[in-house]
Amino acid sequence: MNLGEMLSYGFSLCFEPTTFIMLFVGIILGTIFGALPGVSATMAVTLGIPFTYSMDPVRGIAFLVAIYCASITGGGMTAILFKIPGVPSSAPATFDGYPMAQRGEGGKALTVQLITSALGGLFAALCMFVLSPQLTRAALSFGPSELFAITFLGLSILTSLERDNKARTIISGLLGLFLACIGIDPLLGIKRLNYGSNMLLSGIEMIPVMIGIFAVTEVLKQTDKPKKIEASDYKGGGRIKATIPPFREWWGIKWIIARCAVLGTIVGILPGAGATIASFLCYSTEVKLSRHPEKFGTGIIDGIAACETANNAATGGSMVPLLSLGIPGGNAAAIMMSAMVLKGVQMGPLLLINQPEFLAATFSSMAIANILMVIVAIFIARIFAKILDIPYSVLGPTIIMLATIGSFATKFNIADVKLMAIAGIIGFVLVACKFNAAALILGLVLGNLCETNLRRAVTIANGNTIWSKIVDMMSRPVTGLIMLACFIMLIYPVIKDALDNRRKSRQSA
Amino acid sequence: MTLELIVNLLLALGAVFSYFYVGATMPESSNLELGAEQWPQGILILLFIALAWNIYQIIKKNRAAGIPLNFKALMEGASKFVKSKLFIAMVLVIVMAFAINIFGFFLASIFILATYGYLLGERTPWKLVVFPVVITFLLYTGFSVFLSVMLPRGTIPFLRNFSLFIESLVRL
Repeated sequence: MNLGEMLSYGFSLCFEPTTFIMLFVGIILGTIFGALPGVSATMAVTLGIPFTYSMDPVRGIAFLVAIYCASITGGGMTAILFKIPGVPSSAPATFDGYPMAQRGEGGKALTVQLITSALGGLFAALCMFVLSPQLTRAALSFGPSELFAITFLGLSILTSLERDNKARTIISGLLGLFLACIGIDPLLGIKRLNYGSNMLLSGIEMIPVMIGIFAVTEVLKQTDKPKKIEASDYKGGGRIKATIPPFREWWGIKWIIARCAVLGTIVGILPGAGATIASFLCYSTEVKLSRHPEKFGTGIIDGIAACETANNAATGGSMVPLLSLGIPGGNAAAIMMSAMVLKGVQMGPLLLINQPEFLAATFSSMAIANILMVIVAIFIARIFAKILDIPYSVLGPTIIMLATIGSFATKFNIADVKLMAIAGIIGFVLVACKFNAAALILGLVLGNLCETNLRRAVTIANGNTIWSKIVDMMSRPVTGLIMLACFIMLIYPVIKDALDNRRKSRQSA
Repeated sequence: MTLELIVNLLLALGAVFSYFYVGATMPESSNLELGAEQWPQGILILLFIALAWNIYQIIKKNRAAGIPLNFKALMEGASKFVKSKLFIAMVLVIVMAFAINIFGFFLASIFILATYGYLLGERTPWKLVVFPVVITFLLYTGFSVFLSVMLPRGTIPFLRNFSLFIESLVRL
């Protein structure tokens, strides 16, 4: 089967009434699952597996792919409307999406989120179809040192996340990195920094902390200083209008979409990374590359486009090593793999030779799901937006209960609920002291991956001392280049500010 | 400003303590690898330096603006805070985190939804009763019935039986 034949087979299959309905149902379920806090993309795919038992393999795959793509997108909707990221990869969408929703631009934010998600997903699907073997080979040549450098690139945002508050942002990021150290040492498997508490043995879970810091802190803020949401979109029954930004605005973010689609796909291919890392990394990269970094976090479409393009591109990216080598790029991809194996799909290099129809089905269902998702998700967003019309005396406590269930549902562990409550209160204190919650989450998300890869890279590097090993690690071309970029990105905002201050003081003198 | 300074100082103290704690509780690592204690210690050193810089900046700004460190005002603020809605809200969030395990999802949810609603200004008695009950059942149906999330039933035997009774009614 050549590429053209595979394409026509895949699309003809997806447009069969039964498959199309399954895709449609998968998108609805995925969007709703994704929007619910605590129900991750992995959980959404897992919940979808029982529905596929009675389906034939190709339709089952289409259904699961639709759930997977839609769940990542659904998480962004609640992140924008309520500041509750449905899935961890949607957390950066709160930075710009929520301020836009508060300004009355919720519909615009959601439209940008859905369209950029679709574009990211489509790009990754195309890469998966055309470049699977080549991309996989390239990604698998990345060792721990390159993975460390890529993760560190995400951390290098810290000096430019908030221009007037560099020290506090760095402190917040370092606090996040420190919190990621608590629990069991990732390489040696021994207790670390648990302060004698068994509750801390499993480490600081990312999802409860994120829900606490974003959702509970916001409700506490509203309790302290009640502020009516006066968004025009929410007037008249909490309706969301699918306001499409003018062409000029889309043109302004064309490179953001392009860069994040590429970067998101690459991060998705890397084993152990995934949509969360991709979305934070792309957000931070775009802050660095932007001509107006100070506007990020105040509610601009650039921020939403960056993270939402990236996290959906990562879903397609994670399918690349899965299909061509049988190596899942993330947790959700691992669940997809088990479901596909259950259906008799032979993962790995022989897939393209023996069962090309599965690759065609995955690609076409991913492409159609990403397009269909925009229309379906707008309708679901309208229903969700109705909730905003409810008085805050009902909505606020409901958000607290949703946050509670969301934290509990991730591991069915009551300690996570306690962690969420503590994180909410600490988050409020940190925000009151002008620390940066986003930087803390960034540190917490990237900390473990950063440490594990650095330590692995040092262990396998050549050298007689630890410093010579680090030098050896940094002398790998890709690692060295990325670390150099990190260094420049970390130092540049500090030097630029120092020079600006100097210039200003000279002018005033 | 004073609260900010106190939080920064507490964080710095925590960083120093954790630095020595992790050093004392981890096995000594070899010269050829990064051990379990070195990564957190590196972060803690950077954290301490950043906190020290931030504390210096706060003091410098306070001096420039002529704001003295006023612990009396802080204490007055603290006593006001304890009586504020915000403090009660924080207590409610903590109470809920513990109550959900002891009293079960149904009772804890109805209690929190009603109490927090009252705190946020809802004074209509029927709304304070009907909304919490309806929302609790909607949440239970969504998460437990459709998504198979086993919500806590409580640890006290008769409350657990009550939760099981309500669940059986919902699942009818």
